Amino acid sequence: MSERITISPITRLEGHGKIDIFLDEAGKVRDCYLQVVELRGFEKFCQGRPVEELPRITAKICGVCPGAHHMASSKAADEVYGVRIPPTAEKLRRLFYNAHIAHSHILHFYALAAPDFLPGAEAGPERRNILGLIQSVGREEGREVLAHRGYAQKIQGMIAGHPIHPVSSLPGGMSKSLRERERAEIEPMSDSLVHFAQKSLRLFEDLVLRRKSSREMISGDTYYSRTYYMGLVDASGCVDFYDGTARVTTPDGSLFASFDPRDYLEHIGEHVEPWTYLKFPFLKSVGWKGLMDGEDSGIYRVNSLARLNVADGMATPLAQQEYEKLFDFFGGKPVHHTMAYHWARLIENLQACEELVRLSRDPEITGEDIRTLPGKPVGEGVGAVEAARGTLFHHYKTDAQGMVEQANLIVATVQNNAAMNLSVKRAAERLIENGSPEEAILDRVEMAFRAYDPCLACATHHLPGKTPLEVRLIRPEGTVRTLSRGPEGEG
Amino acid sequence: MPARARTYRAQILGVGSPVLCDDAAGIAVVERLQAEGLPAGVTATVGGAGGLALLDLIEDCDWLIVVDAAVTGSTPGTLHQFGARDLESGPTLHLAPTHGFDLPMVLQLLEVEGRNPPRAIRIIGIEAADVQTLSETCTPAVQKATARVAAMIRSCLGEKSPQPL
Repeated sequence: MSERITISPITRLEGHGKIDIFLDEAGKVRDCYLQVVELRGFEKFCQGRPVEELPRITAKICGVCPGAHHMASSKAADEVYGVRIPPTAEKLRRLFYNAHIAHSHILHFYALAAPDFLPGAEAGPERRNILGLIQSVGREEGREVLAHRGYAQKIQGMIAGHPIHPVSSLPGGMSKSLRERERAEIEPMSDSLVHFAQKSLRLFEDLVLRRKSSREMISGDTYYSRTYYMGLVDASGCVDFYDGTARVTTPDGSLFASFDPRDYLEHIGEHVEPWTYLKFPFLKSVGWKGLMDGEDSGIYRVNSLARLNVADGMATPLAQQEYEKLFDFFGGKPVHHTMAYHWARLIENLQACEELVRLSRDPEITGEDIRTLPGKPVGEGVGAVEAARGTLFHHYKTDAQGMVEQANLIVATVQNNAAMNLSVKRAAERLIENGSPEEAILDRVEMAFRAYDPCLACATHHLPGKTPLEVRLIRPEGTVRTLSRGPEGEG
Repeated sequence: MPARARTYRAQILGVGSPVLCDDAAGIAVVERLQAEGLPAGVTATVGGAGGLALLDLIEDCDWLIVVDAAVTGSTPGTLHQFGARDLESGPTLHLAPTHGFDLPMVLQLLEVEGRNPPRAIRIIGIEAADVQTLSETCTPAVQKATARVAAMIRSCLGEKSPQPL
């Protein structure tokens, strides 16, 4: 009988992603726990503030996805006042937000995902980063990557009114319209972003699909979980980042639920475990059955692959072609292979960039009617968007003057909490043989974690994805071997 | 050949989240300096969460001083100082070498972009008590430390021709 080890959340290191792998007497994985640290005091922080302050202040929580909070919060505040924003305002928000998605996806792929393939496992950990990638592809290509990241950032800044903390979205619309000279700057950057997005997909094909070992990794069963999926879709059933109906599909791909995000509490429950502060959202009508996948488990996944799984297609033509290629490769929908998140992300990036082109050419984009002035508050609102990392909900209740009384937040990454635990466990199980771990195992476990692009910044405010990760192997007799990446030591 | 004059002789960059209690330590230092007025040729910037966003924020300057929160287990308010190369062992929250986004990496990326990184860099980490609770104010020990750091920076840079904003 293996010795039971109790983990107290209080003794855990703050600010770290931590994975504990418990081994049994035979050296096989018995249990696996991914721990991240949660933010505290969101509701208290919001209480007593005028609700129109929230789109600006919640955007400051996270340096990685301020745009997502700015949008979700604005939409919740729109509802608190019961206002419909003017068409130009929605177009401006969408122009801003697609730039945000593009920035996030470009950053994740080139700085975090791609280096695992180029320079790849042969290079030491000190080269598996964006610099190592640039050294491999060449300086010119490197400049192109940085330039396009910069374009996406610049477009956001021009609309959001501030280079890092977006401020211009308000209940009822926007505070600032787009000038023609700004639009004229955005249009060519958007065109270039589309070409770059296509180039990124070709790079993915070369790095992953055309190389045997990578292709096997993406399509094998080490990174695989049969779960439900959730994402927002537009009126045509296509992927939409800014708005839509929440759609949930079953592990075999049939429609499970379709609901207005306002009704999220009817569909999503939050399970609590004693060993972590982070909750586990799950589908209420299936129930929480523990950390397992399959039809009987209420665990669902969000983020790029989930969005492509639930949707009927992409909203833009070039992205739609790439969407079809992905599902052809895997032989149908849904795709449960976790490494496909990286591919889905690049397809979404293409859609976001195509939308930037379309919106920057829309004659209404420079319109002056950008705000419906709010009147008396209705008193409650839910705003949901697809953050780069998955569905994000902001829910506010206010008094009759619009001062916040209650506030709830479900961030994208927490919804993947259960699935991340599952993926890490599965990767560990397959790679740890007889309890003799190697550097490669740490790598592979990290890759499982990284496929989700977890915004631990929303949970830990750390730098995106590359939180110092501590992996501990705990044997029945209590000995602990720590493999870690981070300031304390190169694992 | 004399070195080309930079746009600024110094930039103070405060990184962190403005709403996560002591995580705002670096920002608090910058705001204090801005309120008191900066010497000639000096600029101060609020920096966000670090990472590649630093590429957009680092100015063309001789001397870059980065201020950030740190969590090392020492007494809150303790100051840690080091150069960019010491970051391997200096864990401030937003600059630490997390295998891809450290400050030395950002400086190399500046060069890839064809820009000139600062000639000298100093990092000041302020030990935090709490970086998880949503709050717009720092804890008392950190507030005292931000005042000390601002005074330290001001005396390093000289008080010649201070310019109130």
